[in-house]
Amino acid sequence: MKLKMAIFELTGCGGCELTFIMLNEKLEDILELYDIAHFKMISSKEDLHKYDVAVVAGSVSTERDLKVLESARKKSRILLALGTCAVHGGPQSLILDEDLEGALAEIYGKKVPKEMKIFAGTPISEYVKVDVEIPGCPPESNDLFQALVDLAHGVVPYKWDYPVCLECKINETECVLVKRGIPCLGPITLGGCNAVCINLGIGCIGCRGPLPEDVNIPSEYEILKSLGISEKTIKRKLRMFSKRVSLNDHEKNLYK
Amino acid sequence: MTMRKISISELSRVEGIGSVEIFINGKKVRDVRVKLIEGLRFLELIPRGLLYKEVPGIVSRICAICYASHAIASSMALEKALSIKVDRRDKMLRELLLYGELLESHALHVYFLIAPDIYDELDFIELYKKDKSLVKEGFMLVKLGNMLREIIGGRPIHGLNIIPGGFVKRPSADSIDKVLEITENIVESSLILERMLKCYPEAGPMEGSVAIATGDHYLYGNRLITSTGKESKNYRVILEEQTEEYSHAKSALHSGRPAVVGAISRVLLKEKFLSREARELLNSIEHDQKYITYNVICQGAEIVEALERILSILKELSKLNVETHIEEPYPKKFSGEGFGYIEAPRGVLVHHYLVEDLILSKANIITPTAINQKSMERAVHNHVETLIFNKGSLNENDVISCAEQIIRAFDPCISCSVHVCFIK
Repeated sequence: MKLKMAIFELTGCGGCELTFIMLNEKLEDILELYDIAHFKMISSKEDLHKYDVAVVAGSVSTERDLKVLESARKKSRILLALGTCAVHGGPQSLILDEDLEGALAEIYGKKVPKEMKIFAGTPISEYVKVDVEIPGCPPESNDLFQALVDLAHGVVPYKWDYPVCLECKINETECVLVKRGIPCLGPITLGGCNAVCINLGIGCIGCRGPLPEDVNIPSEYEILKSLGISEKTIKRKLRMFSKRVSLNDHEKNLYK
Repeated sequence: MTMRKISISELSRVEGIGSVEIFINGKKVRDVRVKLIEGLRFLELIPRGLLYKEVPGIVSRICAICYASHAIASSMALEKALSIKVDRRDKMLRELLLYGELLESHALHVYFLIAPDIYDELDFIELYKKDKSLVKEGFMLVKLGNMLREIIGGRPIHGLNIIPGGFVKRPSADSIDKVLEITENIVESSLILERMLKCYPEAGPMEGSVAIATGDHYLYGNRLITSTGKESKNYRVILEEQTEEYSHAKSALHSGRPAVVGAISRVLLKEKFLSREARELLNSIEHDQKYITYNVICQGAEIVEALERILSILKELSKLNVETHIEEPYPKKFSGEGFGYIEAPRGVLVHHYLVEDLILSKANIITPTAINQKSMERAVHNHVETLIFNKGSLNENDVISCAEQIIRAFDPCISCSVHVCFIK
């Protein structure tokens, strides 16, 4: 018997959903294991019963997002958070609850939309229990493929736990941060991307979010400061993709 | 007579989250509301305070399907603001990348989102069970587009290789040759595309909408042009902002009328740029230009166009000595203001920046779907009124399915649209 999978879109750029479609030939293997019961972006099917696996992409940014997330949790056995927006909040999570009013006024002026409640972008784990997390902006297509195959076979999916730095060591890439003074968030960012940006010669911007534990933010902060970058810019860089990066002091108005 | 309301709570087979409400009173449609209700991403506010060259890699997060268009529009605006020069080879690579993205985005739309409408299936997965060849053709084209996004943009989605002045690194000669070989094979094969598009029905009359495109080149330009004969280097002369309390995207009008951008507007306003092959496809399909569904036929022609252009640019590049290393381009000015206009796959995309001491201080981004919002409402309005006129009575399911098909034909990208921010 095939398992039933549903894919839900909250607020994001569509890249996580696209990563799923771009499994290309491998999508055939996934369709051997799963029936896709619900996936609005590509299907007009509406099966809103129980699912074995619910994949949720995007951050909780509206009342509608929260409703969809809560219903996905209730109806599924395993809930998988796909991508940095779902796992960490994504770039939109730079705007905090306390910033929301000012940010909305800046965008819309006096005529703010009233269709539904607008939230500051939030990782889904702040609202529901999440069973599997695959971060990345976009997530690596192999990670998604392997996790879906593992779940179908009752195996707990592999969890990356080392920084991007380690990948540069394996690739024997000269450190851009220390040797060339290029701002790089590699030391605090979760690996698994094969340091794709550093291979090009640019610093890591932290799109996979911070390491799950033992992450030394103050040290990264000091290194960036020694490169002559302003405090505000550093904070914004550190918080660009993840609400889970704690900066210890008040983080309000980072967008201003 | 009482007012009747027909609603679609969430549109399917479109990118992002949107809903529709149609208000009918007797034989008249009173109002149509297309509500783009995806949450906000604040991507005009977030990159403020960043060093200019970090901006394209962040704003490209607006949309995964057309990330390179965003990154290039962003880079072009910054180049104008800071007087940064772009090498001829990098201009060629940019054009190649834009055609690759056009191919990827259109193939995704035509083969995976529209084809199920043509063959009366719920999705491409069901379609695949009946006809493998069509879906495989779609994957083949999407893959080629993504390969170009990977080797030139740095990654298939959200690559960081695109910067003001060109690229961090150019693709290797090997990777160019490899893609050239794949492109040659595809161009030589015969596509099912034309046969499929001949079966696509007309719907959604576009009366009253103004087509808008960029001038000068097919996929970019320094000015905007319209079907009413206006043109300007300043997008604010062509596009006027409008806010609706029911939608998270601001919409744009031209001289008080709904505007339409995308493949249909490019073909109507810039057909002379198209290759013989693309024009042949257009001529072989009888489809009235006054319907928005013609947009999909134009996307088909642009798929053919993209393949031809990709092939010729790759051939030219493979003859040139394109060394991968590039000297980092330096700005001549530290502060300034600049516009960047690109034809993203879905139409005119505007990035407008203010830079002070190399740091971004203000950003303003207008996306194609936000511009199309009012035309979507207009097309659904006209179509439903014709339905009532022809049939006398209305079946709710008919209205819903045709309204969905009409909106789908615009190829809306709602993720993109909710970032519109006109800063005065």
